[in-house]
Amino acid sequence: MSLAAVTEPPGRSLWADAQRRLLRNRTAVAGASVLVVLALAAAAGPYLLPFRYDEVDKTAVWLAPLSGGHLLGTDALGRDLLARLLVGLRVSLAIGLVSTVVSLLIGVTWGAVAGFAGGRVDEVMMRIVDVLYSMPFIFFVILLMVAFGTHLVLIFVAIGAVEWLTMSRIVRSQTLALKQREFVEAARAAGLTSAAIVRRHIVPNLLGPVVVYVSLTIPAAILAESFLSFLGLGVQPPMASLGTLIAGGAQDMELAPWLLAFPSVVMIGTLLSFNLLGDGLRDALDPQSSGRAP
Amino acid sequence: MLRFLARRLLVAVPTLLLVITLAFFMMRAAPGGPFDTDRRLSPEIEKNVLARYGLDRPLGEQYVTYVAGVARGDLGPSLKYRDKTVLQILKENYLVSLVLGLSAMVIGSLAGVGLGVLAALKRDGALDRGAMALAVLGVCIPTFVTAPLLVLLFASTLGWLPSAGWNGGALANLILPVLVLALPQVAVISRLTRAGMIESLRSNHVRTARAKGLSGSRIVLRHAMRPAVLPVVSYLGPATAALITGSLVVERIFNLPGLGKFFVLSALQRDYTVVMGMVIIYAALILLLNLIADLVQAALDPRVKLS
Repeated sequence: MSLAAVTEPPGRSLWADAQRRLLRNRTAVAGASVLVVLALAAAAGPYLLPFRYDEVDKTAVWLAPLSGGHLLGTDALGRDLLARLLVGLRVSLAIGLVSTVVSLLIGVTWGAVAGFAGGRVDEVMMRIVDVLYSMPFIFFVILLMVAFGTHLVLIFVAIGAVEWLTMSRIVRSQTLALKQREFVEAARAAGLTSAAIVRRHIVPNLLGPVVVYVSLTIPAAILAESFLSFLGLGVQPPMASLGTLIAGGAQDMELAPWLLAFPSVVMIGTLLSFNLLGDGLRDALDPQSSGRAP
Repeated sequence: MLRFLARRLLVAVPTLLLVITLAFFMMRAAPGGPFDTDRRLSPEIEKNVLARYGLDRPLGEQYVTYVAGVARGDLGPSLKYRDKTVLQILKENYLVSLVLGLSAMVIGSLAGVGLGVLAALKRDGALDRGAMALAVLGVCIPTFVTAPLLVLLFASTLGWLPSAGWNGGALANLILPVLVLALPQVAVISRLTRAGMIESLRSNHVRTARAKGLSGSRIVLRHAMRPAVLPVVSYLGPATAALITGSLVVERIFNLPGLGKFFVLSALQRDYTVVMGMVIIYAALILLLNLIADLVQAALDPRVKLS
C-alpha cells in the first residue's frame, strides 16, 4: 500500500524518519507487499481469466483444483473458484476501504470538534461515545440489514458507523494535546476562525495516529462484513465476498475441501498483512509505543 | 462506592432506553410484519390478531406501552411462538449460551494471562515469539474459519469429538465450540498482558521488590502482575461483546440450542418482542460487565478512584 506516499508532505523529517523505520521493518514490508499483490490481483485478475465469477457450468461441477482448466477447481454450480475468489477479494477490500473512510469521516470530525471545543461540548460528545460503546452494535447492524435489505452501500455505512468510536477517542485526545501548542495559538492570534484552525492545523497533525488506526480498521471492517455474510446478511449471491465464499465452503467442506481452504487462506493472508503493516506503522510513527506489543 | 454504583446505574438507564428506542423503531421500520409469512389471513382475523397484540395502535403509543412493560420487567409475548412469553424463551435457552460464553471467558482469560506473563518473562525467547505469532494469527482467523477447520480435523478426520450438537452439555460436545470462542480472546488478552507485564517489570516498585530480595515467583505474582492485568480487566466489557458476537456464529455452526440462533431468525421473521428482549438482555449484560470491570480495576489499583 502506498499509504506513506499519499500522506507524506514534502520535507517533513518526521515522515521521512517514519518511512525509514517502516522500510527497515521486515514483517511490515512483507505485509505491505502481500497487500499490493492481492490488490492488483483483485483489480486486474477477473479480466484475465477465461471464466466469469457467475458463469454456471453444469458439466463441470465439483471439479478439484487443477482440473478442466480451473486452477482452483469449481463449486456446486460449476463456477470457477479462482474467478469467484478474485471478485470476492475485490468486494471485501472495497468494503474494508469504504467503510473505513466512512468511519474516518465521522470519527475524525467528531473527535476533532470535541477535543478542540473542550468543556461542556467535549463532555457531552464523549459521553455519547461512551454510551454508544456499551451498545451491542452487531445487533444493530443485523437489524439494519434485516430492516432495509442488504445493499452494498448500507453495508459500507453500517460497518463504518460501528467503527468510528475508537477513532473519535484517539483523535480527541490528540487534539487536546495539540491545541495547547504554540502554532495553534499563533494561528488564533493571526485571526483564523476555529473551523479553519481545526481544518488546517489540527487535522493534518493528527495523521500519524489516524494512519495507524486506519490500517487496523480496514481488517476489522473486512471481518465484520464476512461475519454478516456468514449469517446470510452480507453480500448476496451470485456476488461473492470472502465471507460468503467461506460460509459456502464450510457447508461443502467434506465434499470439496478446496472451497473452504482457498478463501480461508486468502482471508487470513489479507487480515494478517493489514495487521502486520499496522503494527509496523505504529512502531514507525509512534516511537514511544515501541516497547509495547509488537 | 455506593455513590459510584448509584451513579453508574443512573447512567445505565438512559443507555438502555436509547438501545430500546433505536431497536424498537429500526425493527418497525422494516417492511413486513410478524404475521405475513402465514397463509394470507382474512382481513377480520388479521385485524383481531393485530388488536390482540396491540399492534393496531399508533406506533408512539405502542412504544410507550412497551417501555412501560419493560420497566415492570415484562418483555411481552412472542409473536411467533404463540404460547410463550419472551421471558420464557430467554429462560429456556439462556443456559447453553451462558455455559458457552462463561467457559470461553474463563479459559480465554486464564490462558491469555498465563501466556502473556510467560512471554513477557522470556522476552524475545522462543516462547515469546511463538505466543505472539499465535496472538497475531488468533486475531486474524475468524471464528467461522477456525470452527469448520477444527471440526474437519477433530470430528471428521480423527473422530475424537462430536462435530455438533449439545447432548445435555456433555464435555466432549463443549470442547470445540468453547475452543473456537476462546481462541480470539486468548490472542487479545495475551497481547495485552504481555505489554502490561513488560512495562510493569521495568517499574520502580518491581525493582524495589527485587532489591528487597523477594523470590522470583512472589515478585511476578504479587508485584508485577497486579498492574499488568489492569488493561485486561478493562477489556472485560469489549470481550463480552465479542463473545456474544462470536456465539451467534458458533451456536449456528455447532447447532447448539442457545439464544444466538433466535436473534437473526426472529429479526427475519419480524418477531418484534423476541428481538427486543434479546437486545435488552445483551445490552444489560455488556453494561454489567463494564461495571464489574471498573470495580475490579478499583480494587486492584489504589490510584483509581470510583467517582
